[in-house]
Amino acid sequence: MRRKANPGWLLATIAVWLVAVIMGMAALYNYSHTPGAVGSSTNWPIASQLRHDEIVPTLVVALHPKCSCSEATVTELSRVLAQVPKLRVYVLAVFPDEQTAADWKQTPLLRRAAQLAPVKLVLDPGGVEAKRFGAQTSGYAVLFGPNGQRLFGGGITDARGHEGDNAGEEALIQLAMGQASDFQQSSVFGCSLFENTLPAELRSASSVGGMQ
Amino acid sequence: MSTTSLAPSVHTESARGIELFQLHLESQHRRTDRLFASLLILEWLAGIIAALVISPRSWRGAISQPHVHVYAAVYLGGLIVLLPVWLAFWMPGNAITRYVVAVAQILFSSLLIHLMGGRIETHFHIFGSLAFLAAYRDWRVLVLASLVVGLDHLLRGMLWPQSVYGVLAGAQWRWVEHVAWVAFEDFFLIILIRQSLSEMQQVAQRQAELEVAKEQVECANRAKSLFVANISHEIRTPLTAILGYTELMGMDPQRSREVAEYVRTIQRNSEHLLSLLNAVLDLSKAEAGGMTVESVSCSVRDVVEDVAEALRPRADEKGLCLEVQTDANVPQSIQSDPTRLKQVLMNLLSNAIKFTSAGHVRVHVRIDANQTTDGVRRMAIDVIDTGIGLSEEQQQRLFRVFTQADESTSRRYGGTGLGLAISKRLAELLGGTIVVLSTPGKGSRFTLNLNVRSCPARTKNIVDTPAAGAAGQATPCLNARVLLVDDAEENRRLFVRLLKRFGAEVEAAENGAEAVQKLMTSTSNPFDVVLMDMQMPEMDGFEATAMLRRQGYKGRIVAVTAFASHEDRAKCLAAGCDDYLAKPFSFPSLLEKIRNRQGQPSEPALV
Repeated sequence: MRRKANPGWLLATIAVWLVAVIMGMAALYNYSHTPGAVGSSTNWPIASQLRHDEIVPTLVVALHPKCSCSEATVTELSRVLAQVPKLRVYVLAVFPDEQTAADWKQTPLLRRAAQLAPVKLVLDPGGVEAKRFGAQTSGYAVLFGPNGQRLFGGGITDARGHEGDNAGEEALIQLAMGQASDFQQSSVFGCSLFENTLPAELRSASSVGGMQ
Repeated sequence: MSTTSLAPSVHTESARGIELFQLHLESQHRRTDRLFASLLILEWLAGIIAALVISPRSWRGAISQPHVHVYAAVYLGGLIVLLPVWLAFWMPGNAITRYVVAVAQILFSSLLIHLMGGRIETHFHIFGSLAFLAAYRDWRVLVLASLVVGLDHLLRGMLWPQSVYGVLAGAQWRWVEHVAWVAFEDFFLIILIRQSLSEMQQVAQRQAELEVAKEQVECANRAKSLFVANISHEIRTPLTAILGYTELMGMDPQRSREVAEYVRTIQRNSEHLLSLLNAVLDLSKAEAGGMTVESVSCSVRDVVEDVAEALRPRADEKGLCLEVQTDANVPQSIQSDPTRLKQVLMNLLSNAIKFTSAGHVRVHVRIDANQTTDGVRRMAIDVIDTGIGLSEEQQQRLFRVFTQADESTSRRYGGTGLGLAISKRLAELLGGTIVVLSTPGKGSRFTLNLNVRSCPARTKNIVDTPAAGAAGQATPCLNARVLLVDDAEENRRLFVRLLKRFGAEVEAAENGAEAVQKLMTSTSNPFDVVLMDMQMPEMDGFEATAMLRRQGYKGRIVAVTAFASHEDRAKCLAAGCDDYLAKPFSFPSLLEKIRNRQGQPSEPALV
């Protein structure tokens, strides 16, 4: 039997439902576009145990081994490497300390990154090296010239876990190829590398990095 | 058929066709609503699983918590699914339900694309959804869904193009390209929807035509059944008088041998006419699906013996040896309808005698030693003769209505060709079959196969059979006061004369009203039994009986009617009659009905 609902109530219910769904979508959009923290970095840190290349640019990417959002960063890194073959790349696997369980050192994300040529995977207990390069958020990439000068720092994805073209990646490629770019930094979207980093949603808008 | 008689029919078919089309379409909408409700729930669960696999947790150093995508899949996905699923079960078939389903399905595509990290492959979900939405066969649903796709792409293109296109180049116009592909799919889907609707309309129209044709056939069949019932009534009434008076003449001890022969001829032909009438009635009922059988405990041995004994004089007359053989393992009693069983056997055996000029006719009752788990056993009754036999071709058309072996058979042996057709239908109603094996010139074997269940033994079948000849053998004494109610003067005269002859005190009434008046005013000298005709002018027997019962009359009323079916009997008993007797009947049957009132044993033989 066909039921007949009160049209007014039905339309109101549909309107409320639509508004609620749109608000939910907007919240999801907002979450995906809220960037992580970025530390300060200048030129190649002297204290670093790593050595930059003196002929080609050097790229350092910090990853949280278990951050699912950084899968997109590794995908985008593969695209960067496809376009800029002459590049030294260090991927820092940042995990809490030496006592951290072995499964942190062999995650699918790290395996994927290590398979990319010429990536050199560096285990970074306590994130000592990452901090030297100013990395606070998984997916942070910093590019240095052959002379150790910082050319670019920021994320190479447009949102949390989303692949695709983005301004950070485009700027990094241009600078790595010796071209000029309007941007030297971009927002980073990913998990916090350290516990003491404020969650993205608690940080004020002023401290959030944008494209510069 | 004239144009004027066709016009209303065409109009009716057309209206019914539209109605059926709407019903089918609504049914399709309801089914699709429920399918989508299931699909949306499955998508919701799939979204949760995808979120748990792709992005289970978000991290802050060594600390983790469920990822926002997991919450989004559970709560936002649940919210998207909630309203369409509720509507699909609350208001299935309603237009608003399928529109909400369409919007929800596309919104879920959008969520799924987000949860999958904006992978371009997830866009196939949209194209699949549109194809599935076409199952509604409503182009508006597709247009609405496509508008939501377009709007979603437009907004995302402005705010976050990578989430839907993956690339930045030309993002401001890329939504047009995506919507164009959606429109491309819609174009073909809408064509298919139109074709599908057209086919549904044709099917509905054909179904309407069939319905109208079926109704017309049923109407004609009902008219035919009514005609047959009425004509049967009209023929039975004069037959009652013919058979009654011939029986009365047969009782006259002063009759000459020549007159006795005339009387027997009239009697034999009247009985043949009656059997034809019964066959036509049975066929009419069988064709209308109104033939019923009962399932009571009965002795198959008694049935076979009764039939054989009834037909033995005919076999003797032709010099045939009639044998009955019943295997020892045949149970004493089975569950069946003895009347119908007897009718089938009577037909098979009388045919065997009719078509056999020399030799023997044998009836063999046998039963399969094995029985199924529910106690059913296969019983076979063979009627074997050494008669003219049948060719293959003749066997094939043997059970068709109005068909005999060939025309020469009809001319030589007579008959209508109804008996075997009716027997076959009766056998099927009894849960069995009739199989024939025959060789021309050598003889035939007709086998009635039945699935029977044996039951505790009983003494004697109660089958409504006339006790032929009993009245002529002795003169019973009826010490009863009888009220005879019948509108046919010949019948009144006949019954009054007959009943008085047997010693009854008889009064007659022409209709129900007169009967009621007589019965209600005869309290000082009450009637022992009322013989009530049921079809009479002014006040019929049904009304009169019902009125008498309402007024507290407790005397015995026997319905005596020319309406002779099982249903008529039930109708008479329901009206308040104590017993029933179909016209025409033999005197012994009538006397037995009256004698039953007197508390004497109801045996065919009279004192």
